Amino acid sequence: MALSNHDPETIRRYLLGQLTDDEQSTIEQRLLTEDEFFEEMEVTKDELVEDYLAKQLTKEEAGWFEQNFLVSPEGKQRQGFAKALNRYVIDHRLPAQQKLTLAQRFVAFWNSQPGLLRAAGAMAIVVIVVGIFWFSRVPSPKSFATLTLQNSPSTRSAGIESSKVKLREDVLTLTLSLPAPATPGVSYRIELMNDKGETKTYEVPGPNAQSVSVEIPAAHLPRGQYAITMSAIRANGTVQRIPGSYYFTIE
Amino acid sequence: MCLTTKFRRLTVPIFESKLFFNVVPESFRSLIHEMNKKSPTQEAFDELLAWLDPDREKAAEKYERIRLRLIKIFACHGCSEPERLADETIDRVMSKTEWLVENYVGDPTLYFCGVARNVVKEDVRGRVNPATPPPMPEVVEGNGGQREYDCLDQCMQKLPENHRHIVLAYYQDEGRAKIVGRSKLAAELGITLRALRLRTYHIRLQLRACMEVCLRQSPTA
Repeated sequence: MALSNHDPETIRRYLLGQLTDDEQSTIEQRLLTEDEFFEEMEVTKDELVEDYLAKQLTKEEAGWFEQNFLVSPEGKQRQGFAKALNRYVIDHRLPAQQKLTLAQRFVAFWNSQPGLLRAAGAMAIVVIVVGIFWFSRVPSPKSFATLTLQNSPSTRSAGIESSKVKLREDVLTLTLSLPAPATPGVSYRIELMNDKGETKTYEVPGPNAQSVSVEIPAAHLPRGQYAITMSAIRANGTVQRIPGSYYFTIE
Repeated sequence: MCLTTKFRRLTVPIFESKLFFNVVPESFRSLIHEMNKKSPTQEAFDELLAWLDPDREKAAEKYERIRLRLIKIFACHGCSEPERLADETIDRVMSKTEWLVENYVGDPTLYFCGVARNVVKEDVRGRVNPATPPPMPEVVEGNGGQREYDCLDQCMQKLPENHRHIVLAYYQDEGRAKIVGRSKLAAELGITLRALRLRTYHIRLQLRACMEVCLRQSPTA
């Protein structure tokens, strides 16, 4: 049988001789068979000795306790120990209670709350933490600039008026018009080259008979002139260069 | 029928009568009980253990636990010799083991409880006899003996620092402040008040055991 809320008080009354014969018998049966109950009695004995020495028992209680428990060798031993301990504590008083740290205050506050409230609090904390984690990994909305480029049959930018854009957005969406005879591919390979000759390759899915759109992060596009060449990737895996180039300038 | 059995049959009702308790002095009563008691044999003891549990080790553990707890129960009733009464209870049960094995149904531990209650009643009846006034409690004057204090001091030094802190903090305050102080200590340790109560009890147990050894070793004044 588990310890009930009434048990400590019942044990106290047992030790103070306030129970009937039948109640005593029940208590003694539990003392012999239940470890937790037995331990509770041991704790209560110490507390009663403490109360007795602090004169916190009534005259009747103190009288009974003296004539019954305290006369036993165990009672005498516990009383001697309690007196020595009282004296020791007085001689070794702790300095005034230190101020609790924020963490200790939180633990104190937490422990003082009922179990249900603590469970709800723990759940709320979990939800908040998961929420913060979730929102931190979902990218914030990006801004887009758009530019439509026509295919230029020349492979050199010189003499061609390239489209210009002041890029303040996060991404530049380029729409590249396909030349009329181009056969649509299942995807396209876009090769971006800057004026220093550095290249970056992007692959975008097709098919669209008229144009191909590619999103290029602004970080890949510092100020300068750019040329794009495009290849169509067929279903059988072959790559076919689309004639002409696309030119633009980032200002 | 052997002579001792005849003697027991004849005398037991007399010994258990109220007259016997009121008239015969305690010292003589104890002597008669001792004479009347069937001295426990190894065979009887083995039977008792077997009744407690078929596994001898478990039975021995049960036996020790029952004996210790009987001592505690007798101490709660103001018996001046709880150990002797615990042994008396066990002897009485042991003398009936043969019958118990065949007839008793239930947890053997509970049978000890019933016998112990009779033993307590007999002891209490003996105490109310004017011929044997109840023993006065041995009051330890002042704040406890110096030997106890010195031993406790030594034992406290042996405790781990955090245990020492718990004991000092637990007993720091008095009256109403004590409840507040203990709640704060429990919060500081991140445990419930009940857990703190048990933790302090276990530290006290350690201290008492240490003190007992120390007192046995230190010379009396």
